Amino acid sequence: MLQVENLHVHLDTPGGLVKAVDGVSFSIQKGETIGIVGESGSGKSVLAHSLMKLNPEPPALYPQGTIHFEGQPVLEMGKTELRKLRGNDIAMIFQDPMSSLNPVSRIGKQLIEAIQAHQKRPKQQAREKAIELLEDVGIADAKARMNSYPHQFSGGMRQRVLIAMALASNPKLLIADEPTTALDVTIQAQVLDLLKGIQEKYGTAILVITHDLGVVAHLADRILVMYAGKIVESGSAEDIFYRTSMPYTWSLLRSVPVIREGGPERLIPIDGQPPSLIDRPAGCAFEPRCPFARDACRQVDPPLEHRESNHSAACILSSNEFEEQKKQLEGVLTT
Amino acid sequence: MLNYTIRRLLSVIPVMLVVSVIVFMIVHLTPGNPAFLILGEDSSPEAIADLERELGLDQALYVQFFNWFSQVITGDLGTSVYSSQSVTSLIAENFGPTFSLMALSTVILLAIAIPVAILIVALRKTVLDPIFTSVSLFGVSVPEFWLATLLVLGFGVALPIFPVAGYVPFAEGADAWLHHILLPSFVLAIVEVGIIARMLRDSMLDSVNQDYIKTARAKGVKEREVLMRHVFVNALIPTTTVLGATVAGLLGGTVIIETLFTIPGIGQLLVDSIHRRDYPVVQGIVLFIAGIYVFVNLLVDLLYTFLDPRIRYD
Ligand SMILES: Nc1ncnc2c1ncn2[C@@H]1O[C@H](COP(=O)(O)OP(=O)(O)OP(=O)(O)O)[C@@H](O)[C@H]1O
Ligand code: SF4
Ligand SMILES: [Mg+2]
Repeated sequence: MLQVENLHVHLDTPGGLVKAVDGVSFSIQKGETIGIVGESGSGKSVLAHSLMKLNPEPPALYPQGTIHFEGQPVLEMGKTELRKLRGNDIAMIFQDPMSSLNPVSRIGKQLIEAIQAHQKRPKQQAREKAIELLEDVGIADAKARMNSYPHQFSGGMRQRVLIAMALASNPKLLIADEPTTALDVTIQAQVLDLLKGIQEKYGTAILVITHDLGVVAHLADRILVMYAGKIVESGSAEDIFYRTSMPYTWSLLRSVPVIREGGPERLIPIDGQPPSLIDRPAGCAFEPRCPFARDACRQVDPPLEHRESNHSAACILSSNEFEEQKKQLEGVLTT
Repeated sequence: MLNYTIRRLLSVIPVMLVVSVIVFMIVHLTPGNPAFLILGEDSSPEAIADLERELGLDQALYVQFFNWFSQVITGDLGTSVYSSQSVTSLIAENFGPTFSLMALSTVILLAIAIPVAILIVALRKTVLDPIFTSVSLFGVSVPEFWLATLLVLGFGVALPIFPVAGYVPFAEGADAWLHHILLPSFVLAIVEVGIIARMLRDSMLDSVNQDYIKTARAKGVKEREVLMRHVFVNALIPTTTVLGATVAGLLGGTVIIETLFTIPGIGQLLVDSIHRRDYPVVQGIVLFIAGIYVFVNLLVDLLYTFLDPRIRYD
């Protein structure tokens, strides 16, 4: 349904050309759930926005690569075609529900706008549809809530409203850019369940973006790990969690807080900072922070290669080498 | 909302109290003996003393203030020394032209500033952008009095479409009223257009990058609708605060414009009364202008709550 081929997205900023997305390829099938994980600043949002050409231009440039949605080249679409794509075929919900709704406009009005952007329905019908959508995402007393303003809702409720809005035209793909980052833990689970429910009910494909591995473990059929604008490992949730083949993924997994019995939560942060996306180092971008790095890593930037059936990783270590080294290192660390 | 309105209305009281003290002080602490100035240089000391007694100027300052203020509270601003007419009726007679000027120039101000700001924002990514930017840069850096003079020379003298002096009340015919008031209102408005257009443009450009604009675009809403329904409406809120000060500032501008175009308004009455050392009138007008200033800001505040539901439902 969606094919991304060798996509490069650059941001022309006063500080230099930011290579936010640097040769990314993946595809999404109908009804599939894909997760993209990575640290802050790894280019996840820029990538997600590219899928409907939503990055503000300037600064965004698309120097190389293609995106096809149902065979149509998205990056070559004109204004009208893009407008038909956005919200209709591909919908998106954003990181911060607090600021993603127009503060001076009633919820109902914003929902009706989303409906009427793609469907020629008279106001009254659009209104009824809007109420249905609100009920669908679990807003109690939907009819009365139509007249509320965003600030009268909690964060979780606003995210539900945004999800309702995204569902207005039954999109084939729903992009959720960190849908739960700004929410309380208890609300996070509810929103994730809601997304799962939508997927089951409507068969919508979902691309969920997060820096929280727990979120993708919960939802995704397939996971892409992103680092410094590139995909460095991809595979099923099992591949990523149990057959980790790339040091960055391994570090990321270790940085997830774990609650141990009798002890406080333990978390091993990844040392150092992600590299500058303006002057990329020549070799592997993770080299300065990688506990397994060797000299060769500074010379070659390893490409994403198949390991097992659908499992790929970008590292000069083979899966077996990595497995060995990992055991050694973990042995050292636990003693 | 109602609560807010009432609170806001009550807050006017202390403001006006302070304003009256200041007005009184300015007029009474200005150097120079009013009686002496009124009677002229050749007047005898007895005559001056008589007039001082008559005007109450021989009493202690706080007594004078108390007397004046207890009158003001009942709506009596005193009597003109020059014409023996009550100050209130003088203000009432002269308010028509001033109000006309203010109202019309506010309309003109908005009618120019809003479309200009929207056009600048709408065309910001087209080939027209540099043209617009340089024109607006030119517009901002041109001294307003120069532009005003140019307008008067252009449409009053070179192409005598509009009269450059005089006033006809609205009641005597809307045509004649508009004919006389249009040019001065335009001149008055043009001075403030840049401020409002810039503020609106800046607020719109701020709003363009907000998350909710991204949401609107992601919904597939037409760019024109995104601009009007989301960007513009949100940009109105910060602009409104500036609008209050601007409209009130127009009132100050009327003093100059009325003199320039010989329009018999409050401003001209004020200037004449200063020349005549007619202190009760000066005092009354300054207090009245201050009152309008406070009133306009009150209106703007209420407009603000109308525009911003976050305040309305607090
Ligand atoms: N409008 C912009 N102008 C300039 N640089 C930008 C812009 N948007 C993003 N960037 C830069 O592009 C890089 C990728 O940003 P992006 O927002 O995609 O990261 P992210 O992975 O989504 O991070 P987060 O988890 O913080 O959302 C970052 O280095 C960021 O500073
Ligand atoms: S290529 Fe080298 S530096 Fe990069 S992740 Fe693999 S081992 Fe580490
Ligand atoms: Mg992001």
